[in-house]
Amino acid sequence: MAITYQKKLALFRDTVGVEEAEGLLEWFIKNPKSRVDLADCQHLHAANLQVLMAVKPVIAAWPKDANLRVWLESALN
Amino acid sequence: MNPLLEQFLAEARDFLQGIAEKLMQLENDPNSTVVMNELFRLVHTLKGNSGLFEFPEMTRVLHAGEDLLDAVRDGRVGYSQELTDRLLDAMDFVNLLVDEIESNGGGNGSDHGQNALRLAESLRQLIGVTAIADGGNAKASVAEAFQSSSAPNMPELPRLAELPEQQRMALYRQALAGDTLDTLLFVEYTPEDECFFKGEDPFHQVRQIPDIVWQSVRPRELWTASAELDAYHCNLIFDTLTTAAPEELYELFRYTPEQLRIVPLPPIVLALPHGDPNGGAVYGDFVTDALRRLDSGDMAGLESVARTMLELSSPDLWLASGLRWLLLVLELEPGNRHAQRTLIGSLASLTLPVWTTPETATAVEAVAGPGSGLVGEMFSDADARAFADILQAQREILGLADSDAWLSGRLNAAAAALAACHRRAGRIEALPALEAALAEALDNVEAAPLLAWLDAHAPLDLSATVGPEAAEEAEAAPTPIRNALIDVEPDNKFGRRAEDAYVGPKTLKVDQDKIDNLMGLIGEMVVAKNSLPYLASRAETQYGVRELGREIKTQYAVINRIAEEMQDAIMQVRMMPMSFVFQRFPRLVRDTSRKLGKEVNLVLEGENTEADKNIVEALADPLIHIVRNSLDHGIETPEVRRAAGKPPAGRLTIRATQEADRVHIEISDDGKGIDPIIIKRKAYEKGIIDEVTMERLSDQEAVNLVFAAGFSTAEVISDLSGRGVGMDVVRSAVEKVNGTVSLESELGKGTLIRLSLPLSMAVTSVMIVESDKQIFGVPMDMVVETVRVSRSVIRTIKKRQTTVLRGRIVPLLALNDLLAIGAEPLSNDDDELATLVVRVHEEHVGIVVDDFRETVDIILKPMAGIIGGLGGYSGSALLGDGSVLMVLNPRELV
Repeated sequence: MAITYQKKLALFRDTVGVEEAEGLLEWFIKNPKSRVDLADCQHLHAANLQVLMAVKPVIAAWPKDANLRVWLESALN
Repeated sequence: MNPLLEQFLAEARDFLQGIAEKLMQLENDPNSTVVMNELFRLVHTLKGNSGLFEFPEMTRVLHAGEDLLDAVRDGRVGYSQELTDRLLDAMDFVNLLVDEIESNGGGNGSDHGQNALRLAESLRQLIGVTAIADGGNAKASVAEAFQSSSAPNMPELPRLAELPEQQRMALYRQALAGDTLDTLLFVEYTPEDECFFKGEDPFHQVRQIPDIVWQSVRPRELWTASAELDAYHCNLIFDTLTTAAPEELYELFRYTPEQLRIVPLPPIVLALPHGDPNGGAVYGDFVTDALRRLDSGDMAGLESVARTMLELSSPDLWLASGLRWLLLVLELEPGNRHAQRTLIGSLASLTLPVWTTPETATAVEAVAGPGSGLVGEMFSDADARAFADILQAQREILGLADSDAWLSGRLNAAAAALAACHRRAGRIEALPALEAALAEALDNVEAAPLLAWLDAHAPLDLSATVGPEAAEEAEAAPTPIRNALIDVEPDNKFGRRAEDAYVGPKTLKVDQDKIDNLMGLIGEMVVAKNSLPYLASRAETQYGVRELGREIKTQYAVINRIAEEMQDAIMQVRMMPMSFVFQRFPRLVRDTSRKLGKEVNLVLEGENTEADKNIVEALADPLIHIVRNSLDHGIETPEVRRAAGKPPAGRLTIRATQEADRVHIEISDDGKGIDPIIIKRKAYEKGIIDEVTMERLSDQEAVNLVFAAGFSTAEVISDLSGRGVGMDVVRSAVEKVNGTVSLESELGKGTLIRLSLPLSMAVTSVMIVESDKQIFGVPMDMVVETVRVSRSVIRTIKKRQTTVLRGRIVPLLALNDLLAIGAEPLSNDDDELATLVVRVHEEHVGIVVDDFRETVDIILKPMAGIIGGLGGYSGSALLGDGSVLMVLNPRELV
């Protein structure tokens, strides 16, 4: 699993594929006001990106990958 | 390159050739539905085929062509010369791709994405533009075309200011340094709604865009509440600003270029002041002063006041930022008055300058290429408008009726106005033409030459923004606009014109008759060379010249080798893989088994085994018969199979193998097999066998009764099988090409049918036998052995002569009796009879002849005419010494 769901935190790791998007959205619906940790994320599929954009969770950590971070900042801020 | 692609390329060439031909035919006869349908079919098939490979460019263009032809076929679009031109262009492009794919061994060049898009667009435009729909529709499409042809729609760039000013200034400087590689492109990528289901990841895609300077992601529609959100409905738009070359972008997005919007941006859009907007009014004086200096053209003064002002202001202020930009623009784009004015305006209002107006775009055009826009660098916004107004007014004046007495005065006045305008705009190069036009107009007493000049030098599209009349004019003359939009530049043609060097295709399509003819000739050659040994022996024995005889033999060896190679070569030409027949089975099995409510797994093996075309073709019908039989009678329904402890899905295997000069095909199923007892009873009921035979037959012999004519075991005649014309037809079809068929079956376990066929049937090897001083040929593939049987071991059983050979009883038949020759077989000195043992229907039969001769390769000619009805002979052949050899057909004879 590329996403590890903790109590109020979703940990993204490596490459998050398209199949995670539905689960991610459900998790957000069940756990509103949760945070997202993207530090170890290399890439996430556009479907996940749009879930994040729609839900607008608090970003606990931005990706270490500089290029991804620039993109995510422009999308999520 | 794989064989599939090879075939595709070969076919594509044929299709393209056909398409070109049909287009030419259509040109002569535009109303021919037959030609039109054929053309559509060709394009449609080619498109479909191209879809099997990864050639999105080709498929895109062909798809557009297909749509266009479909529209023409339905009468939605009329035929036009232009249509043919564009289709030919498109096909030239496809041809180019095919060439490239062939020379690259599979991949095609990458730089065609844009061309493909443009061609597809130009084809699709014909569907819209020349639509014979109602007027309103046509107008709408013209307006659409017009809109897209006018100044590029400037995108909204709300957040460009996020970039640090330093970086923006550096980019601006870079862009204006004239390095064409570094033009700024605004890329808007709108993925399809359903793109996630196509395995696309738009985010990954945009991350591949090189040299991004700015990016943003926004939703297409506002986000709905989380609960209603569909995670897999793509609602994203990606905006980026990049300095990458457009070609790179088209390459990257070659599968979805229609989702991409690329707008080249004037570098000035980067000029966005930011900072603390404090203390606006204080600088009011500066703004008025600066504008005055700008209007009067006092650039040096403007620069010095701006510099002074900048020194006085705190660097964090909005004003300071704006001034820095103003100075930079003054330094790099001193001619861009519009930009300077806008920047000063922005200082006064303390709002971001709006660069997304058409004027900016026009300025871009002016920068992009001199003379491409009507409005020169020297012009401000208002001036440009006035200029356009004046031109429009002159146009209207010139458009008045030519009959008035004061026409010459009017022409002079209009020409003077136009000349003044253009002189002021610095377009002196247009003036001589204007004078010439005026002179011509005055001579002919009409306004047309001047109007023509006006059209040539001040095209309608810019004046169209002025008023409704202009817009109407634009609509009245859609052709130039359309042409301008889709203009295929002359140096951008993909085609090879007729005079260009033509690279011939590597494969030839030859009529089969010609090949057959060639094969016949080679066969004759093979036979003719056989006369040389005769000649050699005659030279030796008859004329006594041993030397000559030997030399003839040496020459014979050479000719023999060449003839054999020729024979091999022509065989290769005629070889076809079994897949030709096999390919229809998956579908057949699927449909049939569905109809019967059975589950069948089809296994095909050895599809690449090759055999002569005639053999492969002759196999098609028998194989279908056998497969149907297996499905219908052999394989049981899933319930029955389960009850018998078999997997519910039956297995049907078709396997082709090559062994020496024969092809073997095995069709096996794991069905219920054939019950020999039922077969025997049925055969007895139908009178095929008598009671005694029924008792005597072994199980193996019994199952082979299915090959008997008129045999059917099925209780009910279905539409699939059971009419009693099954297996005997199979057998005769196979035997017609010198093949054999056998069947093995085990009750409850399945059935195996074996076909054995010659690889080729061109040259037959026969054994020559002698009887009553005549010679006859017997096909070698039927000969089991030749033995000399002593009269003492011949027994007579039931009035028939038999002997025991290798532990089995072999009936003996004299050839003389079979052919009704009234002579006894001759025996040799040891009182032995020459016996040729042949295999007939899996049984050995001895044919007693006088003597054996050599075996020869012959071309078997079937008998024609009256003697064609003689069943005992399979044909005749010419021998090397010129005599005719009759070839026996033991199957019929015995």
